[in-house]
Amino acid sequence: MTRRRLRGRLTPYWLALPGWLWLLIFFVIPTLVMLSLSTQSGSIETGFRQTFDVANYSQTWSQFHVQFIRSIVYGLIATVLCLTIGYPVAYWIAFRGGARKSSLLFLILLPFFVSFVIRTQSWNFILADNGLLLTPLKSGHLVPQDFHILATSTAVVGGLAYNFLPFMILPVYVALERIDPALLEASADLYASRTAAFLRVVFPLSLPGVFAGVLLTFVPAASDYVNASILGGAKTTMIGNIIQTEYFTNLEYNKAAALSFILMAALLIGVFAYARALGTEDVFEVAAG
Amino acid sequence: MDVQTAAVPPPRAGAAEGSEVSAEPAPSAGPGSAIELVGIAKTFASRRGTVAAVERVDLVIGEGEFFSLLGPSGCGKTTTLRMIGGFEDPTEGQILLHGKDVVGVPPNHRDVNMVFQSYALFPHMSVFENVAFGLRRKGVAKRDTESRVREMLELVQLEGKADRRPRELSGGQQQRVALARALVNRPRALLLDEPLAALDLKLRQAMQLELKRIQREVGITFVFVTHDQNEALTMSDRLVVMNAGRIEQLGSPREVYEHPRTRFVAGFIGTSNFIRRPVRSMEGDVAVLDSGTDERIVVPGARGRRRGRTPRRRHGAPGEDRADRAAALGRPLRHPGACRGGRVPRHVDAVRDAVAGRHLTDRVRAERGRRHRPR
Ligand SMILES: Nc1ncnc2c1ncn2[C@@H]1O[C@H](COP(=O)(O)OP(=O)(O)OP(=O)(O)O)[C@@H](O)[C@H]1O
Ligand SMILES: [Mg+2]
Repeated sequence: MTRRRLRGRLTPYWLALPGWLWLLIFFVIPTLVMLSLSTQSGSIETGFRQTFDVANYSQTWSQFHVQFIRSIVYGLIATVLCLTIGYPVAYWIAFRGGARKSSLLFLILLPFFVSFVIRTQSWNFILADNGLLLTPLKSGHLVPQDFHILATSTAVVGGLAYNFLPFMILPVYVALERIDPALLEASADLYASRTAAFLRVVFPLSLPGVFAGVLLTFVPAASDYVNASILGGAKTTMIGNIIQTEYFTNLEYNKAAALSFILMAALLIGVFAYARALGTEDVFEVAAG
Repeated sequence: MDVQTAAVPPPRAGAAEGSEVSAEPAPSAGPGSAIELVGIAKTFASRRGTVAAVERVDLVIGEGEFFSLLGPSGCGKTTTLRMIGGFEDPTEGQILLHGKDVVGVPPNHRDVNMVFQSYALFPHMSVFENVAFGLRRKGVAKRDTESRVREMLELVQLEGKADRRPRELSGGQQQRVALARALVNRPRALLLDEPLAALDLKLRQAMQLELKRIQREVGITFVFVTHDQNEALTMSDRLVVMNAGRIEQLGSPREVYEHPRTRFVAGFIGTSNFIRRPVRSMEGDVAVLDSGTDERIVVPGARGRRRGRTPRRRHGAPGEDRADRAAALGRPLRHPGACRGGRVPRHVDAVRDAVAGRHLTDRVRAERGRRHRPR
């Protein structure tokens, strides 16, 4: 092989170098640091020592598995909510939006122009015990005086679904938008009712978008702590809140790191199982075709 | 002398033999009519007002016919076809499928199937599943579905490709899947929207033959949309030439080719020059045009087109009348005897093919032998 050809072959790698460096500095190194931290013992006063001890893992798991499972369950419910609300919205914009498509998409994105925390906080105002929603209901005796929404799992899951809804709508919209309208005509031509056309043609072809949407909502929703801390209470604590408290309040860095890795492993296993179950190759094949 | 050179291959023989001069009657739609369009029109509302895509089209397409809609881009062919298929409702008029008015009936309740220009194959299904789609929706028994799909794949010579995805097929193979997917339902009519447009010339010609073979084999009415005159002339039993939402001429390929009824048709089919000259005299059935030089231009009367006012009454040979009505746009120039009072038309549009290398070979067959000698 001549030198020039070799250089030519290496070009893609050179071009990818900034990307690799970025990944190395901002992902690989912190991850390794955290991994090492998670197997250290000690405390902030005595100092942390590397002991390659996995006790942090077993200890935090037995201490916080309730919050773990709760996070996963909340994440799942929020994702299902996002899908049931978001899919019809995406469908409607893609097939009925007409000339207004871009304005409608802009409206979906509009809340993003306000900070995540502020948006969630405004729900706190709305749902508060003497807030915008409950005050009139209570004065009209439509609900009992001690009725409350804040600090319930409904509020937290609702907040998660609200905050991550656009992450479901957008990928599903993109997938639906890419479906050739002639396919719908073809299925009508081939005796399919509207329901059959949806079930046999539209829905299968939108699966790549659903797949992406589910990942984009479930992963951040399950590891979220903002919603639980603003809208939740003691009984709705999620694992994100625990990690935050361990790290910033209790300064137990090693435990926080161990918890993060348990969460990461759980999410990765979940995602891969999900991809396998759906037959991602098929999904991506459709997306490509 | 018979000088007939053309940029277009002559239409299939057999449409009408030995009728060189007189206008042939348009072969009628035959005994049963499969599709009847009665005064249909379609206007689309657009941002800047309305667009008339189709204006008052009347058509009768016979059972088992290979019928083409030919015309330039934007003339309303697709819109017409989509109205037959039920994808668009006409603004006006009636559509009869086998005698029943189907306006307002959705496509899944019409006994016709469509082959889409882009094929519209379902990308997430195998070839087999694509072809079986219609039968399954109709609730045909599983075993019948299986055998009918296999049979159809054999007909389009794709037996070995049943498990492939459409993406893994060539353009011509995809086209045949689209055809099989429609035909397997045994529709009473098949609508094809420029199904060959995306293919290269060679494949296209092969597919033309294939389509004809399949049509003969299954005996189903084909309504074929194309903007390719070659395709329309070689494949059709009859065709209409459309322009700006209207029918310019209806007839057999030979008739449309040899006796273009309007200037538009003459210009669209083949390659033509137009010579507009005053008539010097009528000699029997031919018009002698004043060429402005010593040369005489002789045009068989029935083939030139008279300009100016139409004679009030004319006697035509039986059959001509119907042909005229079918495309009432252009009146053919007639034997003066056919005009009342023997009036001689003033001007004639002579239509001639221009062929590279030769100046004016003709399609109307001006007789070169009858040239005026300089005096
Ligand atoms: N949905 C629509 N809305 C507005 N105008 C339309 C619509 N569909 C067709 N038209 C207009 O109607 C006219 C006829 O369109 P049509 O698609 O029938 O043409 P065509 O003969 O099939 O042309 P081509 O050979 O390019 O496919 C065109 O001027 C087109 O712009
Ligand atoms: Mg068209």
